[in-house]
Amino acid sequence: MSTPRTTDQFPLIAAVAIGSTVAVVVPCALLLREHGPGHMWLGFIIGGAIASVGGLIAGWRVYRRPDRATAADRALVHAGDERDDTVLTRSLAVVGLLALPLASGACIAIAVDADALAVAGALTFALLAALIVAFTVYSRRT
Amino acid sequence: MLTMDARSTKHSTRALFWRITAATAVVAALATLVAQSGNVAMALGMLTSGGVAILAIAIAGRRYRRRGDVSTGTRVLAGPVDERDRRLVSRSWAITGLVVVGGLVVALLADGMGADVKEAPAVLLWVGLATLVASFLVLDHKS
Repeated sequence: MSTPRTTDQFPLIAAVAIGSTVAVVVPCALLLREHGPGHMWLGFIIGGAIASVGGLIAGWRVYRRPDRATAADRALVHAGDERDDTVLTRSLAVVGLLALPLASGACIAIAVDADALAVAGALTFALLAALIVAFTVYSRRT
Repeated sequence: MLTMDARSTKHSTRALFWRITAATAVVAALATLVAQSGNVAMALGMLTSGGVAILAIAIAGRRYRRRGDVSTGTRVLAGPVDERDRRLVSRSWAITGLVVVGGLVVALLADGMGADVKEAPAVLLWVGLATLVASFLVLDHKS
């Protein structure tokens, strides 16, 4: 049974989410500013800000406009029902299934002298793309 | 005419055969690729670990056919699985996916801070495998 959501929960949840994001992003950005190359710290802050805005929009739709919220919105703010949880679990399972063979492939690529950073970056984006595709497909099918 | 049980056993045996054949082909192809690049020791390591994994699947299949009533892990390796097994496997893979993606993000951050990420995929591969086994055991025990 899903917990009923009320609109007055949104400001508190949004404040906690923003606080947690700032607590993670700011120290990492400061570390990147000290030790990272170029303006990577600035890119990190911008990326974190975009993700936070996306999360806030999803939260606003779930708590204030539940009729317009999609499965992806509910999954992003962990406010899904049983069906949303099943879709998210199955999508993450696809990512897990792909992660091990792709990580093996990455090890082999690095062993044959590919650039380690490029391989790690490609692996991350491949898995994130797989998550989005799997979520969209399962969400449409069920 | 075959009974339902006989059909199921025949299907299970055929699925196990194809599973082992596919695993052998993949391991052999990857090991050959690595050996061609000059990493013969790594290729030998791959063949050894692949052989151990294939042996584990074969033993699980044999146990299933002989004893019938076996553990969830044996059923998952040898098949066929029921609804509960499917849900357990799905949740274990989901946890593994989360851990590997999280680990990759941390590795990219560490690279930005000057760490060497050359070993990151290998470390994450083992962390992923360990997470898969551990989460499966915990979820199986809990449910």
